[in-house]
Amino acid sequence: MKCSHKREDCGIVIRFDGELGHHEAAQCVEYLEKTMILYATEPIFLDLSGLTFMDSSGIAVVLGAQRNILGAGQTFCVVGTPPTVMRIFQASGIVKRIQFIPELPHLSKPENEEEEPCTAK
Amino acid sequence: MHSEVNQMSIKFQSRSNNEAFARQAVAAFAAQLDPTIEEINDIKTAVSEAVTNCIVHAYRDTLGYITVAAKLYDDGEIRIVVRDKGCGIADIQQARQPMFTTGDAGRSGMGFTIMESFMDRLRVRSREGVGTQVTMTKRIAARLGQK
Ligand SMILES: Nc1ncnc2c1ncn2[C@@H]1O[C@H](COP(=O)(O)OP(=O)(O)O)[C@@H](O)[C@H]1O
Ligand SMILES: [Mg+2]
Repeated sequence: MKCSHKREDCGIVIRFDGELGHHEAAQCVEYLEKTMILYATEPIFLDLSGLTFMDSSGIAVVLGAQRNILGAGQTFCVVGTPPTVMRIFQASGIVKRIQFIPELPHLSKPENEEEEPCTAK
Repeated sequence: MHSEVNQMSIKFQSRSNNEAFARQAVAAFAAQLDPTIEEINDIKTAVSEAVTNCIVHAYRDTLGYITVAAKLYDDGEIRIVVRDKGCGIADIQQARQPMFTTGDAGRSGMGFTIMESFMDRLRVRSREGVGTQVTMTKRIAARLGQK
C-alpha cells in the first residue's frame, strides 16, 4: 500500500495504491489524518483508482475520513473507484452516503466556468 | 455429480501481515476453476473478511493459529473453511447483522454481510472459549475441464 497526495486546481488529492485490507488500514488512516491537518481548509479528494483490492476495513477508513473531513467543514469526494472496489461499497449499502465522482473536476477552464467543483454527478 | 477434485490447507499465525498471503493463496488455488476476475475478487474479499475476523476478534489480545482449507468439486464449486481457536461468538445471529461490531472504529460491522453477498452460502459455527469455523461456498459457472 502506498499513500500519496498532491495539489490540484480543485483541492488536495490523496491517492492509495495497492491493496487495502485490515493490515494496511492503520497506515491509511494515519496518512489521511496527517494530510487533513496539513490542508485544513481545502477540499479533499480521495483517489481510489490505484486500489487493486479492498475489503470492509477500507469501508471504515473511508467513512472515518469522511466523518472527520465533513465535521471540520471541508469538502470530501471519492474519485475514480474501480468497479471491484465499488462492489464492496454497494454490498455495504453505503453508496448514497458518500459522494463518488468518476474523475477530478476540471477547474479554471474558461468554457467550464459554470461547473460545480465538487458535486457528484 | 458433486465429487471432490482437489484440496489444500494452510495454517498460519494470526498476524495481520498474513492476511494478504491467505487471500492470495486461496485465490491462486481457486484459479483452477477458471473463474472470472470478478469471481476471484469475490473469493479474495470473503477470505480476507473471515481471516481478518480471526485476527482482530478471535485472537484480539493474543497470538494464535488460523487454518484456511479449500476444496474444489467437479461441478465447479469451491468450499472454503476458515477456522480459529479463539474467543468464539456468543450470539451468531446478532454477529451476522449488518453494522454489528464489537470492534473499534476501524471496524465497519460489514464483514459477514460482505461474505454473504459475495459467496453463495455462508455457515458460521462457534463456541465461546473454543473457537469459530466459517464455511463459505461458491459455484463457479461450468468452466472446469473446459480448456
Ligand atoms: N472469528 C471470530 N471470533 C470471534 N468473534 C467474531 C469472529 N468473527 C466475527 N466475530 C464477531 O462478529 C462481529 C461481526 O463481524 P463482522 O461482520 O466481520 O464485522 P466487524 O469485523 O467489522 O466487527 C465482530 O464484531 C465480532 O464480535
Ligand atoms: Mg470483520
